[in-house]
Order: sequence, then C-alpha cells, then structure tokens
Amino acid sequence: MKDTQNNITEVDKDAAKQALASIQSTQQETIEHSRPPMWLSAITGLSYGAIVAGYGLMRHENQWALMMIVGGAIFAFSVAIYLYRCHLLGIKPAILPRSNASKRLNIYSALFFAVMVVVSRELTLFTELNFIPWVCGLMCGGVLVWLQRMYPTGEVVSMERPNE
Amino acid sequence: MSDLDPIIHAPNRLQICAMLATSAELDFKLIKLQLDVSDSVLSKQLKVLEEAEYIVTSKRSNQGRPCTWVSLTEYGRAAFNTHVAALKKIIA
Repeated sequence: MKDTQNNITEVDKDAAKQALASIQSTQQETIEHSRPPMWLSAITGLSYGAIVAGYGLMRHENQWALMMIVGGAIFAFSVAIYLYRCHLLGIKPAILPRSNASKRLNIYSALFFAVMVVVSRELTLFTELNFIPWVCGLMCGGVLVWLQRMYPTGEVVSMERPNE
Repeated sequence: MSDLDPIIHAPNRLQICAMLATSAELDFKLIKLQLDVSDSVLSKQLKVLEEAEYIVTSKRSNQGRPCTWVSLTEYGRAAFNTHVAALKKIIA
C-alpha cells in the first residue's frame, strides 16, 4: 500500500455526518440506477412463482408440468434480459456475494426458496390441498420481486440515514 | 481518528468506493456520469486508489469499443468498511 502524507488531522461530527450522507446518497443513486423496471421484476417473480406452483401441483406429467417448464423458460429469459440490461448500463451485479451481509442474505434467501419448494410439493402430496402450491408460488414470487427491488446489484448496502 | 483512511476520505474517492461497494464491477463511464467529473479527474482518482491496491481496473472490448471496468478489491472493501465504521463512531 502506498503511503500518503495527507493524514487526516481532525474530522468533526458535522464533517463525518456529511461524509456518511454522501456515501448514502451515492449508493442509493447507484442502486436506483440498476433497479430493473417493474414489468421485468413482475415477469421474473410471476415466472418463478409458476415454477414453484407447477412443481407442487405436478402429477405424472400433467398440464402443471407444462406450466413449470414454460415458467422456467420465461424465468431464464427474464434473468438474461436483466443481466444484459445491467451490462448496457455499465453495472456487473455480484453473482457471488462479497460482503458478510450479502452472504447472510443469500443463505437466508436460498433456505427460504428451498423450504417453499419442498413445502409446496410435499405438503400437497400429503394433504391434497391444492391451494398450497399457489400460496408458496405467490410467496416465492413476492420475495423475489422484493429482493430485486431492494438489492438489484446483489450486494447489501446499509440504508440507514446518518442524520436520523 | 486513526481508523479514518486518508486515501478514501477525499470526497470523490469516497463516492467512488461507495459506488463500487454496491456491485461487482462498474463501468468507468457510469462512475464518471454519476460523479459528474471529467475523464482526467476520474482517472487521477482511480489511479490513487489503484496504487493503494483498493481497486482493480480491467480493459475489455464491448462490441468493438474499449471499456474500462472498475472493481473493489477485498482489501479495498475492508478499508472502506473500516472507514465507514470510523465515521459512524465519530457521530455516535
């Protein structure tokens, strides 16, 4: 690391607040810039919900299997559009999380989606209640849309306001 | 006060690090657009961060046009997080 001579002698509270506010607004601006349009988030969420619901309702390759396959294709296509859009904007989203907060978010999200898929399938098989996969699909789609709106670049950044 | 990093604390460099902390890589043009600075000013600031090993830049061709992508190193991310923590400590 190169040694610099311009050491910081004193930073008062106001300067620190100003610096934190600057960080906050810069990160907010970058996140808003990379946030996908609502229609794309909705397509991604609905197609993911269709995969989960289709998997839960599927019995011996009935029509729900087709819904799952079509949902999967639309989901893959919408993710490809999202990544291409980011590339055009000059942003490469983090596929593998770097910060600890991002790693935690990824683990919790993966666990949630895994549990929802298993519940959607197994609970319906045991109870024959066909609304369960729809509820699970809706929840998965909703959470995915929320994740896309809140963390579009894949990294978790603090959103707390320093002046509050 | 010792936790504050003089390299990161400069306003433009602080904003560059804040932007880079949100994603894996950012395009030079996007950073320039958001900071509203000239190419030379941004290049100078990036060079300081690069010499401190806080960032890495890579030049890649995008449909025949050269693009410079900038990303924070693990070392740079740790330095930025320490700097933010030090700022929060001051206002606490």
